Amino acid sequence: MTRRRRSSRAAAATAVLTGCALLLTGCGIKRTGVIESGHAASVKVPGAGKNTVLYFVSKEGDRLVPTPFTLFDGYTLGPAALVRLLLDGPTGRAGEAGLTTALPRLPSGTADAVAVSPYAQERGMTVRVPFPVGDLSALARKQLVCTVGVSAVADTLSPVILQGTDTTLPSDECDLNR
Amino acid sequence: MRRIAPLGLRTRLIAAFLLVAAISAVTTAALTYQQARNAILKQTQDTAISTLRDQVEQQEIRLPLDQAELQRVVIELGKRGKPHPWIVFGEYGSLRVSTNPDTPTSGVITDNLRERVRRHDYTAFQRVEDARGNPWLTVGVPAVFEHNGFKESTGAVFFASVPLSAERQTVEAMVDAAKQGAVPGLAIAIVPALLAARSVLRPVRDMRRAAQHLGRGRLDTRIEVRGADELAGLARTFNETARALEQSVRELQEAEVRARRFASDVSHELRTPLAGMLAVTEVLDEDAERLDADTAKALRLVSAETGKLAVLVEDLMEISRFDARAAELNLDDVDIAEAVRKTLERRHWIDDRVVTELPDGVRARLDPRRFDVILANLVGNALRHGGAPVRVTVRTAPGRGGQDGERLLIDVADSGPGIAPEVLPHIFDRFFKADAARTRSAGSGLGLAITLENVRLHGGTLLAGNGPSGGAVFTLDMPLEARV
Repeated sequence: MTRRRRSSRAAAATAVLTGCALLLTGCGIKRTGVIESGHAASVKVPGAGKNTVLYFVSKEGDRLVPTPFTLFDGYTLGPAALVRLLLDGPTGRAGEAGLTTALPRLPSGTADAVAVSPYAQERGMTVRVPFPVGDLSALARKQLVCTVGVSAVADTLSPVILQGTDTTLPSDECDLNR
Repeated sequence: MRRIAPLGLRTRLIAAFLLVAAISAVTTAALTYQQARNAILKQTQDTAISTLRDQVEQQEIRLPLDQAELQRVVIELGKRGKPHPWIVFGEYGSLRVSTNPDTPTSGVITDNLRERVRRHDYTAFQRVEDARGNPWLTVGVPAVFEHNGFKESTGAVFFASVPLSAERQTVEAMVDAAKQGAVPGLAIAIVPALLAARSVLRPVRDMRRAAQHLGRGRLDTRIEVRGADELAGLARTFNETARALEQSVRELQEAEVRARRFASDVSHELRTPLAGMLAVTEVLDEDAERLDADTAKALRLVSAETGKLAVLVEDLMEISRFDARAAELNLDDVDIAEAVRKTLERRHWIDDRVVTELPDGVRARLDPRRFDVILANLVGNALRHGGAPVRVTVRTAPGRGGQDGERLLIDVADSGPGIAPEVLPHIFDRFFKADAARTRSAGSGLGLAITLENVRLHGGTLLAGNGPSGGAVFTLDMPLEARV
């Protein structure tokens, strides 16, 4: 009886001391992990929505970076010219900023082989390129699909079919968050 | 499990008080501190995050960014740090710029934060410490833009690193305040602890003192009863017990006094008629010669019994004087050998029935009459119940422990069969007969009791035992210099 009472008293004292110790630790400013805190900041980009946009690959090589492209105000590029520009890779400021591309360069003299079919409501557009598309990386396909799908027809996100020298890929739509 | 040495009630009470005070103080301080610290940090974080986001949202950037454009935006953002001036870093592709041209990348922004912000298009923050242990708040805001109705990443990310040294100082000041508040708090808690201990301990101390007084015989001791708590109840019970004890003891004492007075009165009342009877029997004894044989025999019997009765009455009166503490010592300087010889001569024990061993020149201070009674009783007893020869040995011994003065030791040994062991404890009892069948003896039955009282009056002891040769030995041990 006495022993039990004594041991329970000891347990209570230990609990109290542990509580105090827990309270006393955690003084000062502790480090934290990364804590997400709300949405991103939306900036104003002049001409967004009006200009054609080429999608290159970020320096880290894991996602697309939009680079608006303007010739002159009021003029828009044709879809085939857009694809050719994309296949030329990042130039100018985009190149200086370290953006890259996952697409192969066009073999010289084959620029005319790039063709884009006109937009159709159901099928969208078909992009024909003079190289195999079966072994293109997902990011490379996305570059083509997004550049053509977003910019070829104003205010419309169009599905795109890629047709290469080896095969024709099924219709795909640009989804930048994927 | 070893029992911890028991602490005093006062120590335990004060310790318990201090423990409770410490626990409550520490708990309160810790909880308050945590809440306050979290609130301070949260406010700083929220301000920094929303300010940076608002600042970024006001910017107009031309894509793709080049070094100059990115630098312009970063400088713009760096002007308006809140709540503290901050350092802003901009990242786009492989471009890295900051408000500090020398360090385009930050040492405190972790790869983890950078990856998270860039990948998920969410604002995020992290608290980190730099190499010197200073706390920093790092906030990352990705820039998105509206494109065809969708929020789309621009690929540019802005980071701000805010030093938290001001917050750290505030937090440390709070810790210091808690510490400085806790110590005086504990010191103040000692005061009620002492008061509480005192209120409990004073009745306990009173009670202990009263119990000590009671033990020393002061039966009229009482405790003052204060209040109506358990301790007051205990004090009341103590008082009732003491009162009951006092009453019982008084009744016993009164009964004893009555009994002694009765014995004393009876012997006094008997003394006068006995004196008359003794005078008459003496006259009759003288005339017994002329009476016939039977009448003379009866007359002598009456005379002898009357004499015994007179001795008994004298002894009774003597012992009642001892009981009434009325016996007095009349001290005188005496030569012991001479005193012993005189006693024996007076009783006509000068033949070889009594053998003495007397050192010369031993002088003692004692009451000669009582010494005579003591010795006569012991020798007479030895002759009557033991047997001749009786050996009387007088010697002196140094005091026990050297502080009692010299001691006088007298052994009276007889040559009889000795004292039976079952009788030994009762040998000095009044009217005790060693032989139960022998109801009548020559003595009054008070001889040894009176002897013992006389020895005690001198501050000595009397021991009865059996000698190595079988006879009874009475050993008298009393101080050479008796004191009144």
